[in-house]
This record gives sequence, C-alpha cells and structure tokens, in this order.
Amino acid sequence: MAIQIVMDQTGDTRHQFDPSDAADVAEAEARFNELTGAGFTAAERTGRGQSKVVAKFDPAAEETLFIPRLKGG
Amino acid sequence: MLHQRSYSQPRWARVLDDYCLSPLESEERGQDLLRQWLSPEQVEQYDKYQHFEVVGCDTGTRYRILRGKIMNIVELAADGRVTRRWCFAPEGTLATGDVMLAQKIALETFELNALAIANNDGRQGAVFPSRSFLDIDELVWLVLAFACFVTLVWSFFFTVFYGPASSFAIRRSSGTSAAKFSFLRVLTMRRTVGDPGSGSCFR
Repeated sequence: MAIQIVMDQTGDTRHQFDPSDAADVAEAEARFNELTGAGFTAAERTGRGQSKVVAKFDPAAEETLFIPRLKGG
Repeated sequence: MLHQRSYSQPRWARVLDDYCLSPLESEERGQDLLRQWLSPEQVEQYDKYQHFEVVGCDTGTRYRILRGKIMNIVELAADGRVTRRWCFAPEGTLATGDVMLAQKIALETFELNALAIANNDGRQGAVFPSRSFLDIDELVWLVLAFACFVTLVWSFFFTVFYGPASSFAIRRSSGTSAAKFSFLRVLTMRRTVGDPGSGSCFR
C-alpha cells in the first residue's frame, strides 16, 4: 500500500491506496493534481531522512508528503 | 500513532473530527511525522538538543532548525557561528513538527527558492554567538549540582549550629550572649564534652 500524507491543522491526513488497483491510482492521481494545483508541494521520501520534490504523480512512490505553500515568516 | 481517517463517514462527522482533535494531539502527530522523515542522526540531535541540522542542497550551507515555528532557522558559518536567522513556514495553522519538517524538506530540496521567500534578520557576523554558553541539559545539570552544593553547605551549618551538640551547648549556657553560638564555642564545647571529668563547657 502506498500513502499520501497531507499536512493540515490536525497534524496530517493520510490517504492509502493500492498501486495495483487502477481505481485507487486514479483517485490518488486526482488528489495529487488537486493538491499541487492548490499550491501544495509534493515530496517523496527516498530514504531515511532523504526526500525529493516531485511535480508529477508517481504511482510507484510509497510515501508522498504534501506541504502547504510556503510563505515568509 | 498514525491517524487513519475513514472517508466512508459523513462530511459532518469528518468536520467534527477535525475540530475535536485537540491541539495537543495534532502537535503529537506532527512530532511523529517529523521523526519519521528525519535521518537517524537528525533524530538523535533532535532528542538531545531539540534542534537538528540540515545542509542546503544549493549552497551546501548548514542550517540548524530549532523546535518552533517562528525565526527558528539558524544559518551556520563554517566555524559553527550563527550568521543569520531565517523565517519561512507553510501557510495555515500547522503543528510545530509539520512546520519543522516543511522547513527541512525545503532547505534540502529547494533551498534557494525557499530562502527567496523567507525573511531573515540580516547577517550577524562573528559577534552573534552560534549557541548559548551552555546547552539546556548542561544548564540543568549545573543548576542541580549547585542546588546539591547549597544543600550540603546548609546541612553542615545547620548541624553545627542547631544540631544536638549545639542544643546541648545552648541549654548549658542559659541566658548568655549570642556570642556563645559561635562556631568556635561549639568546637570548644565538643572538645570539652569529649574529655571525661571536665566541668562546664563555657567556663
């Protein structure tokens, strides 16, 4: 199972999907596009403490984190 | 503990669920998420010092991310001194752990873009200390050691002036001046009492 984690006021919201299930993948891709379109940054975990920012949905990604748009403090 | 939200529940229940989660719970979940995404070295640093260091992907600069949400990013020079403080964070009300994780990922994957929108307090140069004189755990140990020292000293003087030997001396010296409470008097009394056949202590 892959997981999409969205940062929010509750800490985070997690959406699991089965990469082998076409319907699940389509839903996850739609969520990815919706969130990145709204300004979220998507980051995939590539190892312990390592990550990379992705602009396109990758169904093989095991864990994707969505970070709200950054602003200066 | 991961929060698995079921989307089979009605929308009103989800909204209620969102607003009923206490800030404490969201903070806890934020810290859990942060720890899952930190490297083992960063977790160790965070557990020990409540901060961790990251290396900027574009410039190789070291940054220290302190626990917090505001002005909590410290840029370090090669010698470890603080050169400036940066402030940027995700929009919205997020848990501290979430903010720190977003800052870590930003600095490690798109450093210059993140700094372009960040605010900073300007270069501080060598006059700005890179860290406090003592870390918080060292400070706690120092305070505890000082407290133990003060307790020992206080116990010593209490025993000498108000202990059984001192009480004996006070009883024997009824109505005399306060000078009889002096340290030398007590010592004299002890020597005298230890000598069998001796008379009054304060003659």
